[in-house]
Amino acid sequence: MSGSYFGYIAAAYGIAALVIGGMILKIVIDYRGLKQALGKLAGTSPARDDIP
Amino acid sequence: MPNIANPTVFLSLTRRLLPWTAGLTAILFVAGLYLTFFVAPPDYQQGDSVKIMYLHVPAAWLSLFIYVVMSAAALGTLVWRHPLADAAQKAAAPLGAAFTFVCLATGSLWGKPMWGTWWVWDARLTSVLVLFLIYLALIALWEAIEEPNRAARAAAIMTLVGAVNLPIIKFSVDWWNTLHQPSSVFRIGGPAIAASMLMPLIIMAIAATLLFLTLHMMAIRNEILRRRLRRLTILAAEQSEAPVYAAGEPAR
Repeated sequence: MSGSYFGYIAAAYGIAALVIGGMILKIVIDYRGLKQALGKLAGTSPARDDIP
Repeated sequence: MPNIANPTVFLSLTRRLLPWTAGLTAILFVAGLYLTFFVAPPDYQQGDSVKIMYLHVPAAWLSLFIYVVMSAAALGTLVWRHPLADAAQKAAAPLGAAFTFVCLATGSLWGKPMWGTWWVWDARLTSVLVLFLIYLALIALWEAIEEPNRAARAAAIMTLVGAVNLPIIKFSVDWWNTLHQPSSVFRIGGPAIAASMLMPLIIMAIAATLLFLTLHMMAIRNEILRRRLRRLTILAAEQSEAPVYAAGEPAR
């Protein structure tokens, strides 16, 4: 790969990796938080199985 | 055929499907990146800077595709009141914004060495920037309205109004004199790219599309859980207040 373009190519792939990695991380953290909150609430709610 | 409109069925189905789509996405990305960096030749004019194309074009394709998905979901919300349509629409907006941002950033990084500038206000670049702003506005709208059904309807109407930007983006390079090059892949007469460059591009585009589908399914699952959590919270609050009502005392 020619050196004059290396910085642009590395920056492009670096930004894409950061954005995509951030998206994945955000969704996974959101999922874990929701499961945790649901788990806590389900323990206090007697009607939890009736709700789809 | 299972009724995937049922949130419980959707959760069960996607739990089994997600490992497969995630695995296939990873395999295709590895293959696509290998072909991009070790097999595809440099462009005769642009040299190795053309490597950015294998990222920029799939991101550009997805920025439009995701908006089409959101428009279909908006119709599902407004016309058929499909139970998963508004969840699908809400889940897709941040993904659309992210891929559009990647498209704009990689385009800018490709434009600087090729055009000599990071940005020009030409029709294609400006219309894609407008698309990015529409995605951000939709995310803000979802956050601004607390009641989910009202938020879904408002976002659906805004999504359908914003869809007018899609043909403008697609045909901007034909309708106006732009610095951005015309279509090289989806064009009458077939692709104008050599097969050795087209193959990695197609593989990267399929990998990016599968990545979106995987993340979209995950995000829709989150939305279903969020609504379940909201219902349970309201139910728990009602139950905790019930004895107060029974005793004839005002609720506080």
